[in-house]
Amino acid sequence: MITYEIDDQGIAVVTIDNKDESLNILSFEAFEQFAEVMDQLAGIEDPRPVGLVIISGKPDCFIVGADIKAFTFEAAEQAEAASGAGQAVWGMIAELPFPSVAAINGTCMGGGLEMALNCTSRIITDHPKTVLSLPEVKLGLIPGTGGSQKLPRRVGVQAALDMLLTGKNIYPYKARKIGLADEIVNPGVLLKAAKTRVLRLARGEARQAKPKRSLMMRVLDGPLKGIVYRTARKRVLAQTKGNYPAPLAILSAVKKGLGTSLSKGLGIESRTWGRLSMTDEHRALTHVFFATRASRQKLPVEPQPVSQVSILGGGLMGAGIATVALDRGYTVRQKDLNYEALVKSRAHIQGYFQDRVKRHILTRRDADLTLTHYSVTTDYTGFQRSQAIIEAVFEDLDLKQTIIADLEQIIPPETIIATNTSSIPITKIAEQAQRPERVIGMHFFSPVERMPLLEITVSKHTNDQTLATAVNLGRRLGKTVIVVKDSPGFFMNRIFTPYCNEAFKLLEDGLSITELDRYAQRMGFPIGPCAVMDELGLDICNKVGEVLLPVFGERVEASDIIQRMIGDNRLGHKNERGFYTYVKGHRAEEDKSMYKLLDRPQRSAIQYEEVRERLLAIILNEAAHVLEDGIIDSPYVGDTGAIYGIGFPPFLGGPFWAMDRIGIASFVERLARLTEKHGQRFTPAQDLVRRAEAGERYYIDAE
Amino acid sequence: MSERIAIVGGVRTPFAKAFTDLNDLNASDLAKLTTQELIQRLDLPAEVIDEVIWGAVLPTMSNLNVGREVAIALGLTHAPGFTLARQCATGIQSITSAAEHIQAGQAQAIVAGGSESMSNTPIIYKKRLVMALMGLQKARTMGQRLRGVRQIKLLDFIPAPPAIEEPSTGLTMGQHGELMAQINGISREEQDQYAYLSHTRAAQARKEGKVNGDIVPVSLPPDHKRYFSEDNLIREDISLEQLAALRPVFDRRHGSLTAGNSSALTDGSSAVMVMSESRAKELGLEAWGHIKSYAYVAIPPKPQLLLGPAYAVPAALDRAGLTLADVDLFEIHEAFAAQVLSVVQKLESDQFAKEELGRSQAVGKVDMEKTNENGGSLAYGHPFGATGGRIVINLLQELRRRDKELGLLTICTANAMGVAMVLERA
Repeated sequence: MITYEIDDQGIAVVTIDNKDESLNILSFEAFEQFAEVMDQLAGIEDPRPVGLVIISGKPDCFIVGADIKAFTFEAAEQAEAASGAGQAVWGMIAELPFPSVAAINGTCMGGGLEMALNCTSRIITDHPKTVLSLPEVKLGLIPGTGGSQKLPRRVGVQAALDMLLTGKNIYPYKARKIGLADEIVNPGVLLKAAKTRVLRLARGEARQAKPKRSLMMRVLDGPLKGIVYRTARKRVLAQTKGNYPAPLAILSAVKKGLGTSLSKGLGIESRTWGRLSMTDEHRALTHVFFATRASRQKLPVEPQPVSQVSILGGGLMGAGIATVALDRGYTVRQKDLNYEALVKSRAHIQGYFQDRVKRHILTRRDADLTLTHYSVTTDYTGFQRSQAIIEAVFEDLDLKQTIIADLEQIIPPETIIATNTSSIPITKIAEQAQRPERVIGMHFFSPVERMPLLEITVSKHTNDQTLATAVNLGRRLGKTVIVVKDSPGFFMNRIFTPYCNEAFKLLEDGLSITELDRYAQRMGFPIGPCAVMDELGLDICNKVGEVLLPVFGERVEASDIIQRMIGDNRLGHKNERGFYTYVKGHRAEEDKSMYKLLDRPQRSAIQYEEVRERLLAIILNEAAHVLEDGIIDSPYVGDTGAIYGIGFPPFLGGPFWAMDRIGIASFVERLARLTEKHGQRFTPAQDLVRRAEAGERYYIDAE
Repeated sequence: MSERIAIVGGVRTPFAKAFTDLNDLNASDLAKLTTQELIQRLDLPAEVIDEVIWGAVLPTMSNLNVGREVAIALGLTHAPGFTLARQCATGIQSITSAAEHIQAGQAQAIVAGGSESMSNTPIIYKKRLVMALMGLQKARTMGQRLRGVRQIKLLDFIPAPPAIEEPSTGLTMGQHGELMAQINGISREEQDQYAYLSHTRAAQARKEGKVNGDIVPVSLPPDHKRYFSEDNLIREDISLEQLAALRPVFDRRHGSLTAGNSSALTDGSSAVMVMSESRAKELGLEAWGHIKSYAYVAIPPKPQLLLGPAYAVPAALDRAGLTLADVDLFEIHEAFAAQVLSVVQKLESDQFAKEELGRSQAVGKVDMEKTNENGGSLAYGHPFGATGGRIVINLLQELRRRDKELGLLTICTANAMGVAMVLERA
């Protein structure tokens, strides 16, 4: 996997190429091999190499990071020792008696970037896949092989914390700007550029470049460092509500580490890493990472190639889908009744690409070129030449059926028709279709550009070809795809609706809107249920509720608040009347007049613990129902879907993981208690009772 | 002709007065969106298109070959492309070049279009400024730079005016129009009357929905918060009094040509799909019409620079074996009302026929009831590269609406040329 050769100029070129995989992933063996190579290089005399270049043998991947599975430990001390060993391996680069250059093309994440930070210099390419990041925080960890100490020493505290606390991707332009990389070159000349640089470094013509930082940055990293830490801490607390230990631990490790020597700093990092790798949050987040992979649908047949996607509907959803499809290189044709309806979508798309240009992710040229692939229409012209059609019109069965009938008149038989419904069964939508086998559900979440999930739903008629094409398209649109069976509400709304219903129940019991949403956020939801319903639109939520009623029946004890709200012309953000009041189009504060609508003007406090327990229990129990009903085929799908789709707190690992952590038996007991106190909607799913009796967990056999 | 040439579809942007709605789109931008729409409307797979021929009189400085740029941008990477110009006949030249390519066996399906952005006329600076700026780029030391800067005089920054001047005569197009009005005795009233007719007919056609279907609305940069969907030069409320009140612009004291009876500087784009008849059938496309004949002519630039159509029309009709009377609909490009009326006068003149064409009698009577029935360039505007496409689209669509067979179009051009083309629906 790791090889080296000395070229005729005396430069040692180390190539990393994991032959068994398409990506370079760091295993234990990789670290060992790398150490061996470094040992050998250090021992070569007569002539001694003049410099070292480290490069990847993959076309668009440097190193994606360490193999998470391999780095699971029994005890903190063990983990700490492994971290120390890893730091030492990378440290060997810095100890070589000659300069080194990391030649980075493609993804450079985690351990890969930590390694590169030990080189004298880093050159990166402008390849679209070239991004740098330290994403450990997303797994509830701190970078364990020197990153938390070497990054701030390289790019300053401000920029380092930005990367360490979010794990976000740094694109080439920004990488050079903050001094993480010294040069951006074309992939074709990367090796040559790296060699040139290492030779110049060896001859003393070039020094390790000091990053050019703005005065602002220098002040923030110098005298105002204290403020930077304080602000970061505040932001972390606001965002994590104390649910995630890693960001605070990182913050403290950076602060302490910078106040002492590098070697002591590395010690702090290792101890932090050891401690964090034992936390529940890390385990849950790692589970989510693997669940995402395990929930990946295998393609039953080769997908059909798609070059043009036609979209029906110029609303927010249609605009979002169009944006993402354009961004991923598809030609897009969008239809609505008139140009007034389409112009909002056009402006939305423009806004997205303008922002990409402003942030130097795309050049203006490339953005303009991408947009030449977009056109709009008020008829069905252009639909014949697209291989996939996504319908994103209003949730109305008749309308959707009419559209399918219209489409079938003109489109070729192999074109797939995806309907972006969040709740209406696909079988119903395709009821009158001549070819129901090519109709499939593609349930996107708004805003499409940011929401990572796509829920694909298959009816009993949908054929393999359609499924494969839709799943493949979804992935190319950059989405995590889960495939679920056709049923009212599918998976996402099956668990989301009872959650909203429980929110209504809490309001009926006297909890205030503000408090309810605040509590939900404290639980780890990105946004509270009232705010979310305002955003989605209460009319839409109500439609979903209506579709689901036959499934739920009496079981959920549906609240009538939503009907009352619609009767009171409250549609949410779109008409600026909902749970909240709106000022200049922005959510302002809870709408006190809502309480009159509830026939209960005065509010009474409910303990956070009760709110948390009720909201969580209702989701978990419904998830058990859904799996029992066979709508999803594994708990992996459920955990992935809940986290990426409804924003279920990731540190809990998803509903099924959470039930396992609580213990099925004690969760069933908890449900029984809640049923007694609050009603039959908490009656445990049969499968839960069975599992409790049998002592069966969701994941015990899977892991 | 070996195989018939079919026109299977066409589309254009709305035409806009220069420096108005389409201000921020250059000819290449317009070309891309027009071609994208054409391909979409015809539902053509990319691989069907063999060539992109684009017409543009003014160069787009970012890419001089718009034709190929369009092909690349739209993912037609297999299709070569070129860009051509023949003054105001540029749009027709794209189409006839496409026809010739097909007949020569070079291609089967060609996008033939043209676009013009008068709002983005390249500014030409004086040579001295250009030299100084080039020198500055090469300057390495501060001293060299300062010396370079000192060479530049403030007046150098005034660009050479981009007047539409006929190089062979030194007169502007407007002055040539004046000259024609004088020679042929076309009065101001006749000109205004004609301009009035053009605007009212165009307004009526739009009201009847005859025009919109062939227009692709254009979303406008920078924010794209608006679709521009209608020609903005058509004056629906125009009156003869208003026209009469306008001051002559080319000869302020004695002239008769005004902004009202002359075509305006215009931005716009059009494209048609040209195919061999057999390829169109293979693809199951119903042709809008076929090219029956065409003729380009050239005349001495003086004294009547824009009289080309009076020579081109009989030439094209002869090639088709037709007379003017056989024609169901006739389209004359309207550079100036004076020029249109001059052409009509000559076509109807026995003397002109004898002296200039060597024919015993006039080409024929021009029936205004079937001529420019939906208005012309006076009302729509005249983006040089796009006018040909607009006229072809309008002519074929109007033949369809009236269920007629034969159409004739003619365009006068700067440089003293003219083109005429006979189109047949079946």
